[in-house]
Amino acid sequence: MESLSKGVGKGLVQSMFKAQDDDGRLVAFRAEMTAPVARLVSSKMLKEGMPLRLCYVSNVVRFKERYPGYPRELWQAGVELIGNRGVDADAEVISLMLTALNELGLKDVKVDVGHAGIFKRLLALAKLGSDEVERVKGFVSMKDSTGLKRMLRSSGCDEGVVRAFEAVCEVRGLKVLDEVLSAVDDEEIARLAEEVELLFRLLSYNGLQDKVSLDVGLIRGLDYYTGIIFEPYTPAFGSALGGGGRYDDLIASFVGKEVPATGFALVVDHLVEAIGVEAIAQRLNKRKRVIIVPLSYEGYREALLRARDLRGRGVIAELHPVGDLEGARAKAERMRAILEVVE
Amino acid sequence: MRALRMAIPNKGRLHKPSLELLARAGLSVSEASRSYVVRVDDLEVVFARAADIPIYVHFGAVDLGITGHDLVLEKEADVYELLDLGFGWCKMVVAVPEESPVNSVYELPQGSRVATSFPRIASSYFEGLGLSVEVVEVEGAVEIAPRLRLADAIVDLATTGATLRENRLKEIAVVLEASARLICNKVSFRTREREIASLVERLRASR
Repeated sequence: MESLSKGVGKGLVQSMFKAQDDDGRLVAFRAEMTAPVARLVSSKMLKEGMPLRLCYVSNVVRFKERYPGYPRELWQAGVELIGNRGVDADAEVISLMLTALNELGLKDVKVDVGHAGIFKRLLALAKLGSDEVERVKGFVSMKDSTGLKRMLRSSGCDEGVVRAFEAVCEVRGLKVLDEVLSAVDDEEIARLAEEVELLFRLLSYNGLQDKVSLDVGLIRGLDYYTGIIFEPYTPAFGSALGGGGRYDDLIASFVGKEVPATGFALVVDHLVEAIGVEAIAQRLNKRKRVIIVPLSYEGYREALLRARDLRGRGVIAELHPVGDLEGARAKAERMRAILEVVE
Repeated sequence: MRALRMAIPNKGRLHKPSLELLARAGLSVSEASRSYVVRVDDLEVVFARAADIPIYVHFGAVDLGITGHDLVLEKEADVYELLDLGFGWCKMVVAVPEESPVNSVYELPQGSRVATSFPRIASSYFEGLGLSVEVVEVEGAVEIAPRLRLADAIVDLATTGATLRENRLKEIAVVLEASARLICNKVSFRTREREIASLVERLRASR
């Protein structure tokens, strides 16, 4: 459980399924994939040439108390880009995610972009206790600026910081950066804001400027994020389809050597719901399907080679039992497949 | 794409101020019609119970809604609160019978029974203070629960304190203060960003 818990934050650790093994140690099932990938990279892959580009499709299990009907096992498809500290890496993974969603047929996807570094720095400037930090996150995730302002003022926060948090709740788009910076004159936030502006410029080179919006109030549940974070949305699904971001300190927590990284995961179950089972079935059915029936074992070799050739070209090719021409005809008709007979 | 949908309370103390706000913003909803859905310009206005509106918005049945902050918290709806509309202010208090020796929540005996129509807010309030009480949910007329010995204390809304006095109850703590909010579905907020932003600006200017 220890290795799965590193850097993921209290919320996720609580939602993990846990069990005890025979010598009393607590073991846990993975609830997300980034920490396991980071561990793999730390132990086996650091000698390979950087940057590393990894991908996975894997099941994760987690427990959500608030939604009793929510499935506990989900499939995640994700990528990790490891070893590039630059904003070009953030732009690359966001572009890749949008390309993947577009390929899947989801056309009106919007991506919210935030920055964990800016948000953490604002929290540091507010000088709050850990309970108060959790409350601030609650207010920001509801964009409840009224409640947030009241709470920050009663905790004796500097008025500039209060105004900055108000802007975080109420203003979207790049102009929030100016508003935050005019409320708190902070060098670190100014540097991170430049990073965000550069990211949006890089994304515009790919024609993605209308797909992304800045929302500094975007909070992802995981603690390990250090920089640019993001979540994709579509009108066809009621919450984010997945999400990702930069986690420059996570690998260091395993090996003590700093290795910058960013990546994302899409929840396959959410994608299926957003695209629709029927649309997926239709797309699969669009693939050409061929049924090959050898009339005797004389033609078997040729049929085998033909099937291999077709499959190599992306066609679904199925070998029918030798000699059963009638059955092959019936099946081809039912499956709307092309029938090929080998003498 | 379908019209933007907004739910507003069909009755209760938030009903009239909501209609007035919309009228000031140039969106006059005719009350004469008894239908649940009324089209005003590019907006579909849906009449619903204030307590149900957080759920409508959470699941995206409507994009926006006007309802009380207390109801958003009670329903644990995962929504945005885009505007504090300024009306419908109220506070939620803990109250006990006037003659009770208890003068603060910390003096409530362990295991005291608390009647409320806001069980989630009440439970998390007492949990947050580390107090163990038994919360019982009642739908309405919470104030009579102590008289009937159903409960030792209540958690309920008290705007002026008049209802408390009439039922010979005294306030011993404020759980929260709330007002009417414009709430928004989290996906609509992103996928219909421009339309929503312009409506929010219109309402902000008409508050």
